Amino acid sequence: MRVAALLSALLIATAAAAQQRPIFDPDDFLHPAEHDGPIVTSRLIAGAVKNYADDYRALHDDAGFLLLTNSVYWSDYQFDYKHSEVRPKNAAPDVRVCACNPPLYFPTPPLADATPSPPAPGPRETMQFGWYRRVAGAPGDIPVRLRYRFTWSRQSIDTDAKFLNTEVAAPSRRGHEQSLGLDADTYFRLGGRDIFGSVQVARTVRSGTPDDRSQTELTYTNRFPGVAWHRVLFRANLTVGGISGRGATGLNLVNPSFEAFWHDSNTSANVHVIWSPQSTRSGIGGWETHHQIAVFVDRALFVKAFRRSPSADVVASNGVRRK
Amino acid sequence: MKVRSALCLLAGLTLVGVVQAQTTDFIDSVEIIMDIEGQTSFPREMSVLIENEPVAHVATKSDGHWVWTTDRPIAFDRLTGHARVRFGTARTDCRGISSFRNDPGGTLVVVFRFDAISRIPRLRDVRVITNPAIDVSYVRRFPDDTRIGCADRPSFRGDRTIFDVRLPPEGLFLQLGSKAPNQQLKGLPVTEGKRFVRSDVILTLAKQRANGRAYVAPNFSSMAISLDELRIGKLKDIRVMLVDATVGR
Repeated sequence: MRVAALLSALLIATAAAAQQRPIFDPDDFLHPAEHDGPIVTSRLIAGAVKNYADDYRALHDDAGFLLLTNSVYWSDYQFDYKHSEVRPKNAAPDVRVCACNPPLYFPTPPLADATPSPPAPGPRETMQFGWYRRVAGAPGDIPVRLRYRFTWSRQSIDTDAKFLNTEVAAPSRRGHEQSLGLDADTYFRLGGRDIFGSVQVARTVRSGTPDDRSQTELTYTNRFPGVAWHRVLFRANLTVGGISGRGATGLNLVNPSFEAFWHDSNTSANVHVIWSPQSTRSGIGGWETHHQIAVFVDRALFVKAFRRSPSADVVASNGVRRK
Repeated sequence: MKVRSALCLLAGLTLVGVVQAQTTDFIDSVEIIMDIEGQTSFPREMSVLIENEPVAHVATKSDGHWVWTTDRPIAFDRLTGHARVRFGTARTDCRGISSFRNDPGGTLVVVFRFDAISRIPRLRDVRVITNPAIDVSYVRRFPDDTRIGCADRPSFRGDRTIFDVRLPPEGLFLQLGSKAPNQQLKGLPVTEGKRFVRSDVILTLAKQRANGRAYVAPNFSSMAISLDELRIGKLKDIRVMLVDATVGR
């Protein structure tokens, strides 16, 4: 009963909450039938983004990043711990504060009905829990696997300000931003074709900072089938949805993205180039488009696959046991 | 109380296990019924393929009704057992068991009912050689086979000829580095004679996932690629050769 209540509370909390995947977070979907036993893996991703946007909030700067992912795949479940470090190209301006009550910070944060600024890039911790579910596929065909994934992430935000027109340090603020969300794959058939996508619900809350904001996202991403040209794969995704906390209700996000992917067999590295024109609407700014372009490389640091006992394999695979 | 509950649960699970394990029977006779309108004659020479392996010829009993008696009892799974009928270059689609019957004398008869015969223009034998020798499993699958799960699913190491493949529409997928074939997955598709070097294998599998034909949402999963590389180990290349099947072998 207690567990059920806890799960219900988590689901309710999640329905109001979750987090957008950073543009540099590579796909890590793994069909549970691909592995006999648990898999433990670590992966390093490094690269740069032009016009970086964090959770649909443009930084108005370029950034470099490192991402370390650690994942465990076990049966129909996946657990991830990720640590990312993002560094902007240009240093953020010094924060000044007046000696008044309430204190006013400079540069002044965006107004409530404008697109919020992202937190200053820095280290971020993310934990994810995924569950793979089997659903019916095309008539007469094999079932497809969908993934449902909870994501929780946290970034500490320290603000060290100085009083206006002085070099005197003002009291520091120790805040953070947390994000909680659910990303659920979807599948249906339309006109004899498979339509894959995912619905994301996320809530991001920033507190203890000079610019406390929160936003709730409800988005749908359609995943179009990829194509190949020589050894390069291409794909397109389209995300549409609504984001609260920026003075524009209803549909205020249209975000196609186009990715080129190349795997180098000699080094086992994957090279990604992503162009993501992100159009968002706010009460003050109306529709604005930011063109994110990311170039990055990912490579597994190690992959350890634990196998079941051979006898278990034989029984599971043969189906019919002959004597 | 807890101990008693645990014992009850254990006993229940054991019972379930016993019931599940008892789906395998030893059959003595296979009866084939053809229900095809307008079909008045059939070839006299027919063979039954149990799980895609030709096991014996079939004796005609009456129009559209054949019985094959085994020379020894063979194990057959009631739930997943399946058969095809082959005659000449034609072969039926795969079917699960229609019914069971105990004839006088205790002979156990399984009945398969076929309502369609596919005229097959060409059957191929597919030889697969990996360099160096690695484990390979394969799945053969007709488009409508999955409802009874009757694709054959053997494994081998290094070199094997796969007989009587109907390309297309039959799909033949090689699951490299796998000791146990998995019905829920595809694998390296075989459509023509070809030599795949290591990078071709990885690319082909990645393409399959990218275009949404691997029973998952289209993706560029780096993790899946890493696992592919782990599984194929030091594979340098894999050669696939197709030759016309020998009819009546």
